[in-house]
Amino acid sequence: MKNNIRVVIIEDDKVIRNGYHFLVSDVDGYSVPNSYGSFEEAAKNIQNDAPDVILLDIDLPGISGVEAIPRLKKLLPKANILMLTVFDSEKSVFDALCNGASGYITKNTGSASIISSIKEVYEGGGPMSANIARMVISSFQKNPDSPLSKREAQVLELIALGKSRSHIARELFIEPGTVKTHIKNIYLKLAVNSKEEALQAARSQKLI
Amino acid sequence: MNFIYSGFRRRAFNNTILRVIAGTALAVLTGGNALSQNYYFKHYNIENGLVQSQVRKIFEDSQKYLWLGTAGGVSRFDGTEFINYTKVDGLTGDLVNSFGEYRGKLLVQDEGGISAIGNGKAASMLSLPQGSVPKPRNLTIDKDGNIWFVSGSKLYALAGRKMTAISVTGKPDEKIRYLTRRKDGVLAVIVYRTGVFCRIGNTWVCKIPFTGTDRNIMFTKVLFDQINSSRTYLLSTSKLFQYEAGTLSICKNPILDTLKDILFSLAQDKTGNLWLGTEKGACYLRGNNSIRFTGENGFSNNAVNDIFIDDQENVWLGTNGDGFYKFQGLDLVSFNKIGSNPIKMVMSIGMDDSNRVWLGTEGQGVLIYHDGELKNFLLPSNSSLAQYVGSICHKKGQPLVLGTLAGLWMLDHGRFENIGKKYAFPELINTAIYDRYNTIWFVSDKGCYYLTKDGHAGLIENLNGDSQTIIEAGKDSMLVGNKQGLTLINHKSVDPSFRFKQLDSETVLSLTRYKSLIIGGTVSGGLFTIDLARKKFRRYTNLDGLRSNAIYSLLTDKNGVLWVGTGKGVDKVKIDPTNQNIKLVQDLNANPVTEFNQNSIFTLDDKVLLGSTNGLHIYSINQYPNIGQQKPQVNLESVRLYNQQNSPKSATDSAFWGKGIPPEIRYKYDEKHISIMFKGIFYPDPESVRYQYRLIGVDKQFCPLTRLNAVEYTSLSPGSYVFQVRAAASNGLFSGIRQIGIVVVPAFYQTTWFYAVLLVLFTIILLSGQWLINYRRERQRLLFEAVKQNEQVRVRRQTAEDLHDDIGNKLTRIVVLTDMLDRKATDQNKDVKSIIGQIRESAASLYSGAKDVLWALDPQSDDLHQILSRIKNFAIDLFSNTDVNVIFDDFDVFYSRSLPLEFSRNITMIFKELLNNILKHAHASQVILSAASDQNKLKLTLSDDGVGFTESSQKNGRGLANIKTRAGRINGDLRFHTSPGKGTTVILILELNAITDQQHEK
Repeated sequence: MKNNIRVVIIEDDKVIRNGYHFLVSDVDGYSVPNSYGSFEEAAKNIQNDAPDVILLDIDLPGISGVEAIPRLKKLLPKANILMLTVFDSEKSVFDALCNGASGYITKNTGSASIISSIKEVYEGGGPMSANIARMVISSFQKNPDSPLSKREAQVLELIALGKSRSHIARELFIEPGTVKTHIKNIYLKLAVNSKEEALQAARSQKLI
Repeated sequence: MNFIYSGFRRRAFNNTILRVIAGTALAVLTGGNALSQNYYFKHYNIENGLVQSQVRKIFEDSQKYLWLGTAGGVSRFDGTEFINYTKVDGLTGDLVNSFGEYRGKLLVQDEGGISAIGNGKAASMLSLPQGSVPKPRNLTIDKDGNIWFVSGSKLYALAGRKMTAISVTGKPDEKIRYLTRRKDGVLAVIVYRTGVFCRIGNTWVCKIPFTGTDRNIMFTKVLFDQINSSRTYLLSTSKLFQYEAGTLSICKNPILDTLKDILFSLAQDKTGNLWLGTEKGACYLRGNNSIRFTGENGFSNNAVNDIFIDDQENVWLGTNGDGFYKFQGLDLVSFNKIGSNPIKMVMSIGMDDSNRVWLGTEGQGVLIYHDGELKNFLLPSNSSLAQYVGSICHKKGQPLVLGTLAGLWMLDHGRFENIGKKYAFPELINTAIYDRYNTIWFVSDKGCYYLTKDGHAGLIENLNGDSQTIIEAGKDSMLVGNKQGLTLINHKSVDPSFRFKQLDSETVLSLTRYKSLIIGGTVSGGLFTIDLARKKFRRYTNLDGLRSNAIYSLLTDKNGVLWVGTGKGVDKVKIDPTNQNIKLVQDLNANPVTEFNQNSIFTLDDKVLLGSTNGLHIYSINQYPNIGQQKPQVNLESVRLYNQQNSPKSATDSAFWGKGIPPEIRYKYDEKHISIMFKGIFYPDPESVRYQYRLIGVDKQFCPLTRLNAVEYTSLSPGSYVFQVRAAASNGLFSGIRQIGIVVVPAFYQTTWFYAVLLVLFTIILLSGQWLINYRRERQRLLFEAVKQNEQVRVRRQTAEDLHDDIGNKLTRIVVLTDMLDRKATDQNKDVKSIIGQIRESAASLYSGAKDVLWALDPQSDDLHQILSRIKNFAIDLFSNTDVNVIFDDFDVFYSRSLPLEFSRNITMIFKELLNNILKHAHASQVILSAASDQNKLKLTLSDDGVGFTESSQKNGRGLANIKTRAGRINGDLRFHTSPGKGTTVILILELNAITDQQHEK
């Protein structure tokens, strides 16, 4: 039997929290051990929950979602964090990604896309929407010496134009898996993985 | 002199003195001594300021100053003042011989050499040590400006300081006696025993050769006749010669024929008459009317060294010990002496039928003037009182009546008859006249008496005593002047209604009639006129110009001029009978200060006779010579510049004198005083000179006539001025104008440059100030705008945040709950599912709409680049999982530009709507978004290769309408090009205002 993907939800709005709790746990293969209304609450017990994926609301009372990311990473180094945001404002999402979030979900999307995002991030991918790609590009524009390789930059650009993975693969004459790798690398280079060094590197690169 | 204060002693009427003299001829009057006329000269000597009394030479320079060379130095005379120079002052000597004017300076030749006087100082020009050169004299400047003189017997020319002997005849032993120059500037010399030579060009031409015995004559002077150019006069020490038509002959003249005196000097006036200076006085030669002037008749008994007549016909005579004299003309002669005794008083004047003028004296009998001769006669009486003739009553055809202290005497058919006793008249009679009925009226201090033709005598009753004068006012009416003013006697009785209050306390001394006026004189109240018809009284005093308010005698001459004998001389006036206005007749007749006697005035032919306290004065009614046209001369004497402090120690910055005064004075503005002194020269009447001046640049007109001959200007402000002055004389004529330019150079802070700079600075300051104000205002405005903007931003942010916070999660809730509902609803319940689906869709669209609003609230969204980027992202997202190829053709290459608020929302909405339409209806495979700009127009194009549409075929009619409305809101020009099957192209053209452009790098 496959293990359920363990998802913990940290969301201050009760209705939404309960909703997501229900929606995720209702799907086969996913379980929600716990859901919390704030990081402080979660911090007390989340280690016991041993989640694989954490759905973290960006707007939290007290310690904000962005600030919570490194702390969660400390507590649960292996967990993937997905940011929940109402409107995908560039700044806070980007900060979250730089802090180590693996991706983000806009709350208004249907539960189906939420599930698929959880799955993707669990499997090691990182959802990069066109929006995020654009943000990454614009962040790179702030920093002249871009660490991205030429290929990575091309991929990033095409994503920003809304091209699908397969389209990009065709256009660049590479395998779809290679695209995925590139994206991963981009994230890595942006220190979007939960690596402390990457964070520092990102900070020292003045990207944050 | 009037009777009130006369020294007449009252004597009792003494019958024993009475005589009835029988006699048929005037020969009973004993005496008959002719009196000598006295002439008038103005006299100047050391007491007036002359340097020394022996005047040897008289000279007038071009400025009309008179220079007197004496045995003790030089005097410069200007009519009133003397400025003297002697050896101490710089002259080479004190014994002055001659003068010359040379290069603006006055040259003085004396026994020590030649000095030059200029700028008020004398300096030696040629110094001749004592004895080196004998008797230098006759200094002359020829018409070419060369200096010549005679010394010893030689002629010299002076160049610089070098004197060169010049030969005239070429003979080595030539003796030059005299050097002069003609009116035309040609030199002339007398060569002893040879002749008179003139220098024509460079050669000496003999004009008058001396021949025969003439060669022995010691000629001393030569004079060229200025009237008759063919005649020349030569003077020797004893005779006067004339040379004409080749002949030299002695001048014939009644005076000359008997004159034995040494002759010294010679001059000629404009009429051609000669003046001759002798060892005793001078002679005026004019044929049979020649006159000899000596000390006896008003001149001097001294030798006359030099006679000078200037071009205004002033005759100056320099004597050897009596200073110098100015001849005052022949307008006035006087008789002051009987023999060697002075005439004491001429009290009364009248004329007999033989046109002999009788004049009564005080104790000396009568004088009879006839044919220009005045003779003195005594009345045939043993009593000396008879010789006091106080009044003379005369009328043509009537016997002459004399009022004496020894009674009234009537001269009837050659007989003198004493009529006073018969009628018991008083002996002291002031005035006696005949009326039209030939009744004799006489006024005395006892009243007014009359004696009719037929011997009826009477006294006017009620007449206040002390009557002074009487005239006939009209038929049967007489006017009497007395101590109470005027009294009218009508039909021999006093008319009490006639009274002029103005005269109530006045003593009327004299009366006369002139046309419709009664004219009277008072003892101290001046002159008055009464218009009898209008009963108008008018008074004139010294304030009206009369020289005295004591009016003794009045007479109107044949020219209608009223002669007023006052206590200080004669005034001649004209009174207009229509308005009683008075005007003084200004002429230059000699008018010595004389006290005239009451009612002692008479006119005969062209003469007016006035009795005075020192004899008889006879004035000519017409002038001699014609000096009324003489103009005065004004000279600038000094100009001095000095500082404000004005103490004696303070420096005079500069001073200029006389000819050294430059035409213009320049000085720097610094509170300086400039003082200018000037002098008007008018020899006929120097005391009458007045001045008028003005400073052009400050004054518009000349100032009123003033006596002051100095003017001072302090602290003139920078600029250019001209000071002008002119002199006026008593004949009303003005001199020419003398002027000097004054330029005050402004200190730097007064120059136009300085002001210009100041103006520029000021303008700059003003402009800067204005700019500063504007800048401040603008900054404030911008600040305000920024604040407003910030406020807006804040509000928007606040709103966004609220929206975000408020709507965000609530929407999510709806979505989540809908999801949950969807999960719980079974697939069978299609209605429920459908409704859930609609709710979800609505929520999704509400969500996206809220996102748009939020975005629009973000101030960053006012940026063109942002808007287009957003549209681009929206398109990408919209078609991201579709097969539609979205192509962006320069869509967001634009610079960031701020746009007005409504732009972002409306543009985005338009394109969202359009893109959604494409997605839903177009079935396109390619979408192209492009943008272009042209100056201020932005052209956005969206085209697809879908099925196209027609407006009428629009299902969603409202969508297109919305788009159009939105386009209208931003003044956009929206165009659709579509046709079924051919795709669609939508073009939106917007007008953008140029606001700020910032470069945005892609």
